[in-house]
Amino acid sequence: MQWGGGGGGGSGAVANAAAAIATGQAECVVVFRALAQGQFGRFGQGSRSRIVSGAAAHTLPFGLLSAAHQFAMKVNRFMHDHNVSQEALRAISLASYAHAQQNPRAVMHGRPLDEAGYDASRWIVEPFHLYDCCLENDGAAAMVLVSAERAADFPHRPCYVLAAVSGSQHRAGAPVHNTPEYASSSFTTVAPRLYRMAGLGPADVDVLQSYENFTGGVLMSIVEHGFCTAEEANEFFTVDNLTAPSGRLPLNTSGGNLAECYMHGLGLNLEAVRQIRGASTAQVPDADVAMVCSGPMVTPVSSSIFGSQATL
Amino acid sequence: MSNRVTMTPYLRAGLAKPAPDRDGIDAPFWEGLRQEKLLLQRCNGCDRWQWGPEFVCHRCHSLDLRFEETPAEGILYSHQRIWHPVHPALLEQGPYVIALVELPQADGVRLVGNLIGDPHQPLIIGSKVHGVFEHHPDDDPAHTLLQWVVA
Repeated sequence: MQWGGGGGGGSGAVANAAAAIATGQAECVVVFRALAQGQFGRFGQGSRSRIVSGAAAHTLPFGLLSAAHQFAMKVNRFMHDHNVSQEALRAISLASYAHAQQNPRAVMHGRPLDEAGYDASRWIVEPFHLYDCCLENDGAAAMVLVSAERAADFPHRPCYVLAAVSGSQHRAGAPVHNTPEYASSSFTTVAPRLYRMAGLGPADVDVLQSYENFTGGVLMSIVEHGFCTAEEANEFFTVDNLTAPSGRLPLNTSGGNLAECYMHGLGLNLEAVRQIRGASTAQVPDADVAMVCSGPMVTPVSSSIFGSQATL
Repeated sequence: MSNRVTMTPYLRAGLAKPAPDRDGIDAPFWEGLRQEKLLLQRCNGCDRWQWGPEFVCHRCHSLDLRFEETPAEGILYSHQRIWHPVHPALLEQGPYVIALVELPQADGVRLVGNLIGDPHQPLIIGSKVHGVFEHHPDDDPAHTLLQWVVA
């Protein structure tokens, strides 16, 4: 089966794989993503259509063209409603770049970013600086899922799917920016089901991989998954809090979509598995529970929680 | 208001031009703009407004919907100032502003348009805005865009 356009299905694909194995439809499922933007078109560019109708007719003629444009107004509204500062977005970006410096596979390995560099970077669309936006790169990512019994025979330490859910909000797909819960990452219904399925809560999560199409989506994802309230965001979103090994909530420890590799977020799922196996280049000590939020602000979105043997 | 003569397009030429949907669902909207009227969808079952246009009322599920005029007066619900050009037509444009406008007189439905004027103007959510009709009579297809200006 396939998942569509953006990264909203990254953890949903894991849910599908787990369901197929649990119900005997499959013994082994590979979840993969491969992108070749170099040959087939950059995601950051706008449509070249000459004439448009339907929903696009109400946005493209005004220069609302790219994914960044699709989401910036959600983030501006959220930041306005809750007095969230630009520094909160900056902290998300700097944490990813800090982690990428430890990861030799990262596209931005060897290209560190500091506060001054972020502040001086050009706007793409306010509130997104260049470094608030995901990379455009080619690559591939894959994960192999089997039953827990079979995983025990494999040479690597097993990592267990504790929960994986996909869903959305009331009228999340309402046309022309008319969704009722506009300033949202679309996780308000998914997050409670995720925690219920895992039998865990946000306080149990040792390390988080949260999809950064744009940093503002991470901001809202973290709030909607209950790690802090919107009103606490300015205190919560600091580089110290978000950086491994000892931050309050180490975030995007491979460098993520901003600084490791943009693979529609499937790289984030791989990093969650590495953390559970103790194999990350920015390892959180004794990480037993690793969570992934996939594709904020689209519909549907999905999340997953992975655990070590100790969590079973 | 009529800016038929003086209104110059906010954005440079070359972006996609809008055409009514082939199923005809939004044709009254585009026709209305050409007459400098804002026509949006309203339900004959529950009398509530909705936008974008749909074949069913998302509240009461009535299939009996009409288009009705509403004042082009709204509130800035959100905004974005765009700097990086992602289309060849915008390479020399410089920054431009997109507004998401809420219409309190139409149950708070939202419309997307440009916030015309100085692209560096302060963008303040909650500002009152009013509509300006930007005619493109010589384009193919001829059309009118509803733009917005801070009141």
